[in-house]
Amino acid sequence: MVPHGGAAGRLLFTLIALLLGACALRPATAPPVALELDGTPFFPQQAWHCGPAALATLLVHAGVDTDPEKLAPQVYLPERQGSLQLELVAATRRAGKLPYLLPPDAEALDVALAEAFPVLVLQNLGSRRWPRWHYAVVIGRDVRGAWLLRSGTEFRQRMAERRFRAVWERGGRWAMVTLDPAQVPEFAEEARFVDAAAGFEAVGQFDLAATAYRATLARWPGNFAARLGLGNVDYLRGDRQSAARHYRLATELAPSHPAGWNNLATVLGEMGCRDQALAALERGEAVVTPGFVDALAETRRTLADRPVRACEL
Amino acid sequence: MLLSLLRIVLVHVLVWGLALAGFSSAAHGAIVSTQTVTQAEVREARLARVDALLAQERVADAMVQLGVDPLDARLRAAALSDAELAQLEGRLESLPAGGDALVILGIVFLVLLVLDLTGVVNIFTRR
Repeated sequence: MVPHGGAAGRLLFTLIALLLGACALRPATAPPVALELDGTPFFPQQAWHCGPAALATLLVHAGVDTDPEKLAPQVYLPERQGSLQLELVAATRRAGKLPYLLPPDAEALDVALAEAFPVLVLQNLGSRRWPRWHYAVVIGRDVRGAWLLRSGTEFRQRMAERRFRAVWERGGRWAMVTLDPAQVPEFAEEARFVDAAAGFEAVGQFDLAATAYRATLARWPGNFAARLGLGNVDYLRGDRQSAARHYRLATELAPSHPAGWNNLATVLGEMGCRDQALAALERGEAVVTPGFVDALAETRRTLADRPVRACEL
Repeated sequence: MLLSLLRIVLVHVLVWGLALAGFSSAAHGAIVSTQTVTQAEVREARLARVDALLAQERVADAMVQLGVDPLDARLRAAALSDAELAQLEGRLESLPAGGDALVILGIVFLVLLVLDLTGVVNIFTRR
């Protein structure tokens, strides 16, 4: 229905058609790609044990020989009738896997799924006021964008996109995958991976820490924290020579970070190399930031107390 | 007898081994841990080293209060980093504990069903 004459009307139609076409070419959100990790194991949940069940699902998928009964004493809090997120993280480390926390957006879940990693999520199935916390494992999406889960006693739960997002958001958008510490998947972010690696160091799992640091450096050769971490692991295991070597490399990677200089100074001091230690410490003091003032001051005190002896370098 | 003795020894070795493994990262001199560097927010080093051990003990005690076996609790606390202990301490009662309420759902359903059958409400019957 074009009121006056053909040309203007046809032009209008053409314009509208072009605009519509352009819109169709540029979808607002990426269309969901149907995908299902149907090989993901399933452990139907017993009573309130969705934590152990969901964690077992991921760990067994990652090749660990375990089950919910073995994991319950590591993660279940009887009086709370549930499991805490941090304890799932700790239990993952105890199983020798790297607990990688995904960024809090749904796209990150899709990307992990695309690389065949099932994702453990925390859901709040209740309200903010009366929460009902629940862990489930995301194993894919269907063609309509709905989320597919191993959840509770359901082998294959289908949850509509909006419902999934709502309960996941109410749960704080928490999502974890369990990785092989020696292999950095494509989707991994540098800072997140190396932070998880540092978790091994912090609880004394030095071999796994070193493995994960080396994997970090293989993917991101300039990563300062991983190089420092290799030094720390060697230092904590008593290998000062090797620690000093890594610390020196760390200071080369990030001369403006006080931590590398501080740790180098500490280990050189212990090796009897007081002059070199003081030189390193001064480099650190020149670039000190508020968070490291105490550490550097302590190192200076320690160095002052060290007896002078032959340098082992 | 011998077996149970062996078991006790083994448990002690395991518990102290893990506890000390966690401890050793804290016990050493003046090196900056990698986590201090990786964790974006520069944590004040207010958790002194001795405090970290105490925190481990307090978290283990809190777990025991919540029904965890004492040996398991020590192992679990030893498996947490200082930063994680700091996040957990005093909050074990309040942090989200995923456990689902399948049972509660079942009870709600049963109550509704009974109410429905006794004619108090009319949910399941078709009009």
